[in-house]
Amino acid sequence: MYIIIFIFFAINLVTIGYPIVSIQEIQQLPNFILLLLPPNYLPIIRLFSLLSVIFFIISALSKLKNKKQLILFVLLTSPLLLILAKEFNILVIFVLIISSIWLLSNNNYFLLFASFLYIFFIYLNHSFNSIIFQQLWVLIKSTCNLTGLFFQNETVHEYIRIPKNGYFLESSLIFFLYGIYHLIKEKKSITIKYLLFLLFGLIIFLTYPSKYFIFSGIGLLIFILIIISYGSVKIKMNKFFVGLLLFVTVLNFAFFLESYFRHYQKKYSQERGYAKFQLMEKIKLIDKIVEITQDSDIDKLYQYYSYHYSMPKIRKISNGVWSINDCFNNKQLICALTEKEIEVNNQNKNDSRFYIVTNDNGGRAYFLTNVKQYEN
Amino acid sequence: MKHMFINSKNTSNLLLLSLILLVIVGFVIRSYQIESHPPVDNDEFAIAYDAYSITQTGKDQWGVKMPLFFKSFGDYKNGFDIYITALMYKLFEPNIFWLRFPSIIFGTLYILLIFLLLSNITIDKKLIIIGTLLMTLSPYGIFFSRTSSASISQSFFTITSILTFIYYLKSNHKKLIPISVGSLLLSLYIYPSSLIVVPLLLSGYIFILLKKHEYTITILLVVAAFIVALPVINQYLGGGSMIRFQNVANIGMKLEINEFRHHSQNDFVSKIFQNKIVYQSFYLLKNFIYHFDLEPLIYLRNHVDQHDNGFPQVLIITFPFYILGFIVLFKQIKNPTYLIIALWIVISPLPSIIAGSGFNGKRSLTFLGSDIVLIILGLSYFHNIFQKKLVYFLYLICIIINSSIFVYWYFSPYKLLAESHLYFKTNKLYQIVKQNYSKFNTIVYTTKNLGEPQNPVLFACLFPPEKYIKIKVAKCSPWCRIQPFDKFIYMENIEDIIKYISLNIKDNKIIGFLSSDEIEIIKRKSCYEILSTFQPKKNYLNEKFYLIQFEQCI
Repeated sequence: MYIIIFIFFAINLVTIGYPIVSIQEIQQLPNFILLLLPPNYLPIIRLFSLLSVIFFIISALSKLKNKKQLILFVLLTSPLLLILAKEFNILVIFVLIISSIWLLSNNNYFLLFASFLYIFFIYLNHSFNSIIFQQLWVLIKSTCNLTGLFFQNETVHEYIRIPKNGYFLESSLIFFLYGIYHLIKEKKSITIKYLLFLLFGLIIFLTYPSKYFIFSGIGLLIFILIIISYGSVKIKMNKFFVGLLLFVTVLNFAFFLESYFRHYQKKYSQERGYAKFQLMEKIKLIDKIVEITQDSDIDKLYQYYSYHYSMPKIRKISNGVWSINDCFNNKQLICALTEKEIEVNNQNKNDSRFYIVTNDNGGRAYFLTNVKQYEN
Repeated sequence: MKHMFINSKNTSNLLLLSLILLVIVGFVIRSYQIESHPPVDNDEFAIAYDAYSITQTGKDQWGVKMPLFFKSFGDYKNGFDIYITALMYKLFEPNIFWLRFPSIIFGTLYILLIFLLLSNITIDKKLIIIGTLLMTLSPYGIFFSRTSSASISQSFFTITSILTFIYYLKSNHKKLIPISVGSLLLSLYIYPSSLIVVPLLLSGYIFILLKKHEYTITILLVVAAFIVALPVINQYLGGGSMIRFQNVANIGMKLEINEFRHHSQNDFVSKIFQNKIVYQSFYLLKNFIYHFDLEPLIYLRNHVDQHDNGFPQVLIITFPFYILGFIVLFKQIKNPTYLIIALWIVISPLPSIIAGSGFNGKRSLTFLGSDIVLIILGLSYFHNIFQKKLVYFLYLICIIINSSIFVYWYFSPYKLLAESHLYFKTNKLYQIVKQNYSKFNTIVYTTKNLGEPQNPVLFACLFPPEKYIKIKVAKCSPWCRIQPFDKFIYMENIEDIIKYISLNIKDNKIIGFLSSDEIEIIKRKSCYEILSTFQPKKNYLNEKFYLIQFEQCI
């Protein structure tokens, strides 16, 4: 069993650089880590996420007397855990560790302690964000949405959405529904135990200031995963159905892996900030001034790159108003124009003087002026 | 026979009185403001004119005598609703009220069906009344009973079949089988959804009959079903109705497959994972689950169209019992009655899924009533609690309050939205022609603006069908486009209209129904007088339309 977990660890380690580190990951990292790790080595921080996922898996298995292989299979084929192992987020790591300790200790008071710890952490790091309450209904809708969670979260959730997949495999819906059904039937003490974890997830969901469900809803997602595991322990099936379900799960998982490793980054490279990284790579070491539209995402990225490279000076332009002639005529200036800005300024998008920074799927993100001449 | 249809234990005066009261309330809600709300859509106008044509000539608008399937726009509508409407027009006058009257009746009788169905599931009178009340005030029940969309009548006959089959299971009275199967087969001639519902439900019946060793009846049933279904099969395979399925083919899916194959340079692996079979299976499964997801069930949606009023299917106050109902049903699945109900629940979303849409209330309307059965099963789990009068009446009041929100929504905000956005221009044109047909020689409008609404204008002036059959020039490929006829001159662009006006301006009775953009263009080239101005009450797009009379410029 531990060999399988080791294989999971090894595969994740080998592919640790995929998908590219996103701007969201960089934004929450303290400066000293950014100083230590240049862009090429930054994916190493995901090791923390991977280890916390493995800790969670081992904890989930530790108290079981039977069906260990089945639970391991269910957990290792869960898209959620693979996604989380390959994305650095402090809250996610915190929730995974708390869930693991809760599973190991079986102590409900621990959850109370964890909730206080979390609130204290939030209080220190963020002010409670009123946006979360404005978006509450949208967030509730995205949580209570079986098709979004199990089938396709692209249209329901923002950020880390795997094409044609949810956070859980379609086949695990059976375990989830059975888990809920069994919990209703189960003794009160066990039901209350799970309800308390749900409450813990809800506290995070309602207070964490992020518009991305994968982060604010992490407690709820882990809760669903725990219910799936619970359902798979409790469900009684004959060998034929077990075989059928395993077969469907393997197919499901293969479909997910294909989607994740071959299409996710390409399709959603924009929301990971792929083009912004490419832009930084392009302009680093160039001794010029770069003009770019006001974009808060760029700030931390630029700061990070400037720790490791000599970066050109960046000038922010508000409202996309450009002295477009300067962009071409002033050779000391690089303008990073978006497609929309090109259109507004009546410029030809196919002008050969532009150097084009693309997203991973080939979509044109930035049109750079005066870069080609510099190369020549 | 009477004892078979109403459980004698339940037939108290109170129960019957409640039923009568609820049926009356149901009828009133379903028929209130029926002529104006919701706006009449193009399909309804087509049904109306075909029905009128049948009453006048015995032929449809294409000159075919008493067809089973009406060519209409080239989509070959199933004939049942058109004949029922024709009957109304024969007995009364041809107007919107009598067009929608059959739907109101089917929708009202649905209440009775659910009452009878619940009487077979529970012996608790209170729960039967709750269920009947839920059907009376059902958002989807009311919505689809107010349009002549055929889906309510198809659904009605399907549920009649299920109910009769359940009676058969309880009484073992074999005479009920032909009634049940006959009712199911009749639905084949009502709405295309039945093409998917009927074979699957019939397979369920056959399965149960075989388990009961009813071999002779089963063979007769299969033969009869095949014979009755033959014209329908023929129509869909070779008669032109396949256009309905071609129309709903999932174009988005093809684009997605291409996009993903492009990501991986169309390699071998992408051919395995990105192909029609894999995607189709994925969407079928996803859309099936979506029908039982919270979004269509209990969320108020922003989107409204002629198939969806945006109000959730299940009242929020009943939702926990709806979920619980699944558990109760699952536990008793070995009972043939519950097996049939489970089959009904599983089958009903399929037409909408197979047609490629995520959720389409009209196509999956067979579900209507199954939600109530589930709620009642869920409530029966708390049977003892609802025996307390206080709890019972409080819950009844909660249901009435929750339903009142829907009734308010339907007759106030949704009415405003529907009037403004659904067939606003078509309905205005209908009114203009109805009120002014004798006052003008020509009316002009652009197809860019209005499409080709020949049916609204035909029905508005009750254009003689014999004459229409003779003068009509149509191009069908396979949707049919009718060339301008009689007083109705419609062209693609406003420039073509201007040309027409300049050639025919001596005729001083030309009126036009044009948008503000078109008026801006025409202003420079023609003279006209504005007779009336129309704009939607909720005018987000700042649309304005004018009825103008063309004049010679001095």
